[in-house]
Amino acid sequence: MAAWRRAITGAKHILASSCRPTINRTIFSSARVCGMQSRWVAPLYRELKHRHTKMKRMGLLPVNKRSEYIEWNYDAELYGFGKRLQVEFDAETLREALTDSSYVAQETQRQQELGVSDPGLTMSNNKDLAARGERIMSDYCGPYLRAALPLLPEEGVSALVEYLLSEDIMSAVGYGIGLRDLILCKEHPPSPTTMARCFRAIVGALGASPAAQCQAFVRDFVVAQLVGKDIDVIWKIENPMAVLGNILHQSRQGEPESRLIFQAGQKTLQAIYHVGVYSDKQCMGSGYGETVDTAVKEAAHDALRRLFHITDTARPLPFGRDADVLPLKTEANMSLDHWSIDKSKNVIMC
Amino acid sequence: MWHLFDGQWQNPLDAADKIVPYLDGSNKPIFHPLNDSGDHVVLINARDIALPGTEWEKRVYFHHTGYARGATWTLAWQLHEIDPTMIMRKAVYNKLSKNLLRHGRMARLHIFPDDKVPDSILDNISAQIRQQRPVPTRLDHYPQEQVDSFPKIFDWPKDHIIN
Repeated sequence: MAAWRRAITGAKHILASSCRPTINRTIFSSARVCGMQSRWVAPLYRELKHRHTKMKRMGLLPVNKRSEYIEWNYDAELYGFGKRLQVEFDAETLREALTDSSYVAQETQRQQELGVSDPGLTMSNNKDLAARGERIMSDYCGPYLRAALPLLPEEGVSALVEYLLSEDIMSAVGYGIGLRDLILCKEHPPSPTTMARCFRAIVGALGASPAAQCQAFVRDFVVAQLVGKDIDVIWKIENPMAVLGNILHQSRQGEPESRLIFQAGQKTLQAIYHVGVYSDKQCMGSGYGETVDTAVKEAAHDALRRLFHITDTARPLPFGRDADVLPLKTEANMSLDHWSIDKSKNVIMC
Repeated sequence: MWHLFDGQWQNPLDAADKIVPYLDGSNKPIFHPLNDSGDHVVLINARDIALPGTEWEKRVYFHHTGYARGATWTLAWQLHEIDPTMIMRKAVYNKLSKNLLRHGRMARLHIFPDDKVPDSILDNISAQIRQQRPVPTRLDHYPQEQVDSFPKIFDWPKDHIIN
């Protein structure tokens, strides 16, 4: 053992003296021995990845439009768009519906900068089509909702229609059907306002097709946004107890009377009260709350939900074949001020 | 929810079986091991629990202080004299599932040696757990006139002494 050590030390001395200028490395200083390519490739990629994610988080990365890629074929995309949605678009109208006014202005300015004094642009923007589309949607959504929810007061129907035609819903549907890459507009990605206007114009472009097809499109893409939503949340009733009292007065029934059904843990942070609303000893509804006041309010809400048939267990909105045969109702539902239980018995439920 | 359980003349070992589902929430249809759905149980009259057979004399509670010769063995009747809630508490503690939630569930059990419960706790109660053994009415609990008017098969001789 000792002899072996002496031999190695001796050899080191010989090596050191013979090749002094070279760096004295041990055999394991080279990473190649361990099967590595190098000691800097992986750390470099790691650092680049880190910088990339950081820039992405800060929003500094340029967002490339799909149309900037070399194999982009706008005509084919427009054709495929209609086929995906299974509707027939007029090609020119669809192109007009997807053209925003900012894009026309941008093109005109670009041509003027290039020295074209009179740019002969024949493009028209989608403002007219958007107005037409909004009219089509409001003309269908209102009668559809009145027919599907015949006991919902007219105020509720108009609140639902307003919700469906709001910019949030319009732009969400627009993003959902893939308008982001098809819109011709100045900014990218398109702002919700532009997106909403463009979607309305798409519906306006469908106006030329048969009414049934257009209505089915509106129903499947716009009205379907109500599925799973709580109508009571979209249409907020302020002071439900007063509204319930008014309805009972119209129906010639007794005043609503709230009574405590159950309570637990009053002296704790998790107190719970269960309150029922009664009229002429008949239970109209019940609700829970952390205080008596919230429970009373919830109970009144529940009573109204039961009267208007918009509880969680109510029938779902008709779609598909059910909606095709649904007779649309153009005359207004009962208004909230004139709503009464006697009148609601005369309403035909379909 | 807050439940009341009367420990009067109840077997603490059987009562613990009944109380544990309320503490850990497994009596509810929404029960899941990861959700905290247990209820509070207020146990009164813990002093009047009834251990069966010779359990008062034969049941031994072991404790070790951790020091050398620190082991003690205490009989059930001795422990009950020291702390009338301890037998009930240990019975429930042993029946609860052995995990990190055990102490939190024990904190929802409020044991009182008699029926004197502070109002801050009593006001929360909204349900009662049925006793496993109905408490029979003892002869000395009946009013005297009802005892006297009860039909007798024979009369004791005047000079007979009943102790």
